[in-house]
Amino acid sequence: MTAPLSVIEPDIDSTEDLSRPWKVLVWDDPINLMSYVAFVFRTLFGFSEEKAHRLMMEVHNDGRAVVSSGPKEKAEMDVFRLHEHGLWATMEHDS
Amino acid sequence: MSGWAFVSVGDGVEVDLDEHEQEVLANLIVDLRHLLMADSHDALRRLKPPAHPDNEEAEASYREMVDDDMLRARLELLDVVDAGIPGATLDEAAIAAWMQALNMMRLVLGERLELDGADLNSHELPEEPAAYLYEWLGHLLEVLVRAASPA
Repeated sequence: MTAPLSVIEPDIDSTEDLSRPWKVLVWDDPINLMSYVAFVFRTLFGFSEEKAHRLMMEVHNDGRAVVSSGPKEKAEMDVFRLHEHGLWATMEHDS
Repeated sequence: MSGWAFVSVGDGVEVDLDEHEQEVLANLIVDLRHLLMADSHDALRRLKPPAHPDNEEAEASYREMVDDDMLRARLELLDVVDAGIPGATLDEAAIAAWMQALNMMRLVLGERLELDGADLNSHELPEEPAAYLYEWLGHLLEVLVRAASPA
């Protein structure tokens, strides 16, 4: 075995596994009203009142909750729509 | 400032603001429109949260992809709200526009008031006009959410 001549650190993009789904997270913030957040979850994702409330409480109590997941394009669209509604959303690769 | 603000009717939500409330809201829309068009980073920080907080490159490409659309959509929804202030029956799309507008105003004011969780929990808002506006907008949004929620 010979030692490698140089080590090239891969950047994030080249190691991106395209088959791994992305998840969309909503983070707790002190300004958004709880009732509004639950309402947004219902209208954007079609969640039942119970599910929307549960996720909203998860955001409130745990600081964040995963609200959707899927391919990058879908996750980006969901983040965009959450941002439009003033919610603090991010996306990351599912692990 | 009193009145029902929003009333649930058969096919939507009716706007019912008194004259003073109408004037205040119209002024807030003018302010917000200016802020959005000026694209001031500080004032809009809370309106444009990062999608990729830990990846500068991904964040830059997200912003490039959405910023123009988001600005256009936001300016359009302010027009919808402006038109409905004197009294209108809001359909589903107009309800969403009103909610987003009221919430944007709260986010900008909240950011300006430097609210953190502790402030809100103890209800110790600073005694200044922005704080009263902030509370009033929160009240309006709460009433609108209730009026728009299926029974």
